[in-house]
Amino acid sequence: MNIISLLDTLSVLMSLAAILIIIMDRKSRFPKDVKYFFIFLIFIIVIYNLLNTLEWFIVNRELSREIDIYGDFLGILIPTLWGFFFYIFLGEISDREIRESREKYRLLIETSSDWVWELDQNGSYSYSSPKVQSLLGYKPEEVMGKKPFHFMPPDEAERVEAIIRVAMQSKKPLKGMVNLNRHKDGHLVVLETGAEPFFDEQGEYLGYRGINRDITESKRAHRELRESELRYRVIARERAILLEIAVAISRSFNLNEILHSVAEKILELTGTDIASIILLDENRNLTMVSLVGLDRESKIIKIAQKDLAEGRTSFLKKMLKIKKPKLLHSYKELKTNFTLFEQIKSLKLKSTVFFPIKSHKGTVGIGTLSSKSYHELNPNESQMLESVGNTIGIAVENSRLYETLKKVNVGLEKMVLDRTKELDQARLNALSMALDIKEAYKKLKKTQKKLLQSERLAVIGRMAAMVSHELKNPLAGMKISTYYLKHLLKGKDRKVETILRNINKEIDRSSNIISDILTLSRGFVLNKSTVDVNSLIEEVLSSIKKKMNFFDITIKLRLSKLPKVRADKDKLTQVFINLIVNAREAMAGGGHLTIHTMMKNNKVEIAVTDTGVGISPDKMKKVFEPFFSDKVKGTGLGLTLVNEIIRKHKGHVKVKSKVGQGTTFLIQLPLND
Amino acid sequence: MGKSKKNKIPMKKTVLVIDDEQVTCEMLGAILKEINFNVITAGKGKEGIKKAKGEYLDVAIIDVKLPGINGVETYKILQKAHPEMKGIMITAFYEKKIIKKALDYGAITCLYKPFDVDELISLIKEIVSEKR
Repeated sequence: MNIISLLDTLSVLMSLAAILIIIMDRKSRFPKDVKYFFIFLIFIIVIYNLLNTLEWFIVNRELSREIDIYGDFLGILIPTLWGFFFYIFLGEISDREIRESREKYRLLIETSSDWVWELDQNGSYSYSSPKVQSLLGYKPEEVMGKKPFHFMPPDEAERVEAIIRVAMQSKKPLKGMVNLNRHKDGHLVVLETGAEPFFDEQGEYLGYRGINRDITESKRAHRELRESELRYRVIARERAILLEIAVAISRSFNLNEILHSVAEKILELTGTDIASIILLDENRNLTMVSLVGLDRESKIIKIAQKDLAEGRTSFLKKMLKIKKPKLLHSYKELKTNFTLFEQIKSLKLKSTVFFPIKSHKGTVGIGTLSSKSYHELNPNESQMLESVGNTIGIAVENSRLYETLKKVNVGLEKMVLDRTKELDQARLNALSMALDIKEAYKKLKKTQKKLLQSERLAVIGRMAAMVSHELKNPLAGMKISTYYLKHLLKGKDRKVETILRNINKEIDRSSNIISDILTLSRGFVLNKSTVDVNSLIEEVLSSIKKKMNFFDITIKLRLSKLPKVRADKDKLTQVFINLIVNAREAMAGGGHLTIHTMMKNNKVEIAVTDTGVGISPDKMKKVFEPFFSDKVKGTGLGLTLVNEIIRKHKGHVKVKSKVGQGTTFLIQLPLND
Repeated sequence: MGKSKKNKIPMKKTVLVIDDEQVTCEMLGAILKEINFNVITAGKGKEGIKKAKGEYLDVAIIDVKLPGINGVETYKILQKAHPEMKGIMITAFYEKKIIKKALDYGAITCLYKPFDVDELISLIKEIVSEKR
């Protein structure tokens, strides 16, 4: 063998050595693919060199000598260089890469806000990022080698150890494990841990790697949130009960009912045992008391006592002065006051809250809440009781107002009733007045008619008066003229004298008619005096007998005793004249004339009866009408006048007649009017 | 107050008739003349008073209703001027008050038209016979 062959062998050995180095790269500095690549390359070189060596034994030496030389040279050099290059240079590179990578991770770990750590199989810190200092105050060096429990309070350590042990046994990861730790300076820190076990390439458990996050603030925030939630819930519940109280108040105006239900609700709300409400009436005296609660046998009691005995109220009166709810722990004083309520005498009340019941008028009462157990009064409860007190105050005022309104309403109702009665009465009055008015109107109409009539009559009367006056003058002229004519004749011509006499009679008749018309139309006024009817009749009769012929008439006078009458003598005279003359003229061929006077029904009755021609029934109705007479003589107004005169005396004229037998005129005169 | 020839009383009786009705005046006048009376007629009060001035009047027949001064006033004046005169009122109207006034002034009576002439004549004769 020569040197070259020796070198060849050396190169092979070196290559193999290189390979071994690579394979034995336990520190895994090189990436796997790079490793395999180089292994492959070296392997090829090795093969090449082997082949070379073999070749020396089997192949043509000549040809192979050249190749061999170079080949051998290269075969030695290359692996050698390769090896060095490989080992140093690439190692360097990979070393650098590793360093860079490590640096990157280190930076990442150190800049993270979380504390990154590593625990070994024993559970001791084998690595700790610098963050630990800001979390727990310890430097990483101080942490190393210690177990996590070292930094926890004892109870917490126990708890956490148990958890970790379980996790380690089952090689399970830890997620979101909250643990309490103590900072170097003593304060508590809440950390949240997330960790995972890690293994070597053989799967051997090496420890845990994880991060710890400081959630103290977050935790606090959470707790505060929970607390505030709790508070809110409490407030909400309180509000609900207050609302229930408000509803209870609004449902009824009966103060008793209200106070009972309110007391019950307050008990529920506060979890106390006895609630009571004591009110002042309008005169500032303690009055209505409502008590609700459980007695010794835990039976529900409800009392409403209207009046409190004077002597035991001094304490309560003192309590009336408080402005805000006040808590007292002495039950002795209270017991004194509550001896009024027999049932609860035996209860030992440890704490009692007094809260004022206020309305816009000021304090109207106090409420009490007593408990058998010890209670404290927190601001929230105090505020709530104030609210309750105000609400009860409102209810009291409302109830009282309602009572007042009821009274007013009753008063009003009464007023309305009275007024309605008044109105009804007024209506009735108005109705009757209306009727009266109607009546009055009717009367007025009648009167108007009468007035019109009388006016008409007055006009007619005036006319008649004028006319008659106008007529009387020519009549006078005529009468005087006929007289003169008669005188001139001096009895020479009987016939002419007769005619003149007739003319004279006619003139007289005309004059009489005119006079009668005048009398009637004038609406004469009675000139009354006391008249003896009987003697007047006798007078008239004798007077007429002088002027008229009564020889063929038998006159019978039946004159009873009569009291004197208030009447117009002249007018009555005329009446009798007319009746007697009529009677005479009705009995043309003689007859009987009877005049009867008597008293009947406090009235003077005069009956003038003749046995003359009579009046037929159809003419009877019109017998008093003017100018109705079928007589030639007379004015035709005689009976009209009689009727008018008697009517004016407030009397009546009646006629009874039978044709061929006779007629009776009956006059009725009242004594006085 | 006029000058009256009171010293000389005439033998014939004088009647004064005052009426605004001409017929009445004329006829009355004629009738009275027939029975030997002196008659003075007038249709108005003033006229009558004037005509009667200075005359001796026995009777005056005066209508109540006259144009101008009414009958009652006329009578009053005449009665004053002729104290010896006796007055008779005649009227177509029945007016109580006026007639009462006349009677108060001294009139004898009041006759209503159309009056009975005989009644008037006998009354006049009565008056005249009484006086003298």
